[in-house]
Amino acid sequence: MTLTQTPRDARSNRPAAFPGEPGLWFFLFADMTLFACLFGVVVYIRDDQPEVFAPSQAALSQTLGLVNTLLLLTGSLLVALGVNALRGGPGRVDRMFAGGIACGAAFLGVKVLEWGHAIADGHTASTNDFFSAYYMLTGIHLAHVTIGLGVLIAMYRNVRSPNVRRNLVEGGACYWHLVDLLWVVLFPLVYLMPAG
Amino acid sequence: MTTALRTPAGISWLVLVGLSLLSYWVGTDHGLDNKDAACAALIAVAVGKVYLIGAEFMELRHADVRLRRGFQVYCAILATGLIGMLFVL
Repeated sequence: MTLTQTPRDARSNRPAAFPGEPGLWFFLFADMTLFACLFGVVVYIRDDQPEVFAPSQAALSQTLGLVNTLLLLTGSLLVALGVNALRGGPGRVDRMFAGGIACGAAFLGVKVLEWGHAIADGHTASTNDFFSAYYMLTGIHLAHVTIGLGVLIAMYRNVRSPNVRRNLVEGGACYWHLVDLLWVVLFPLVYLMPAG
Repeated sequence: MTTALRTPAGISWLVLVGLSLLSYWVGTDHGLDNKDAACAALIAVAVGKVYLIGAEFMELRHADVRLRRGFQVYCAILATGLIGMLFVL
């Protein structure tokens, strides 16, 4: 059996055996593995430098981190409902994707606000190892959010066109969920995990 | 919106939001006294959320068994690796 979608997937409204393109999953797993290593770095810094980790973490806003978590989870829900609507489920696909785009844009806004406060308080990437890891992790994640927003906009335009490309929509949705998936680990590790 | 929340994705969203609020509560000094135990709980909940996002939002629950198993192995390694680091380091 090859890593291709079966004819059943193309004809039916059921979820595909490989949502999106099968090759996309190699990329998604590689990305998830990279982040798993970066998460390990955060746990290492917590153990190695608790005297640096605790006060640095306290300088972050846990509430803004929670707000961003809720924004991404809601964006993911809307995108999942949009994919379901594309298969004949309730709701309008384009409106669901527009809601997902709004959630992603709001995440960017909150992150810019958060970084602005941190930099204004004198916490930059060169301050200590915690902030190096913080800016690296949230920066790479922010790049994913930005790319994901571009993908969502492409999906929005596609579902409003006469030629809907289901693979594009399902694959794009999986990428957006990846952005969410990475954040739900990043948030507790960086913002909530107690040190000492 | 009420209809949407009755779908599998909607129910998953409610669970994910609930777990996020629980993590926030634990992580803002209202949780466990033992900090390593609190960290382990936070990581376990986070990986549980990862699994739920993969299974329901990414639709891996319906996906090819190789993809599903691969994702389960990833979640298991992530949880074991990170929680293991807490107690081994």
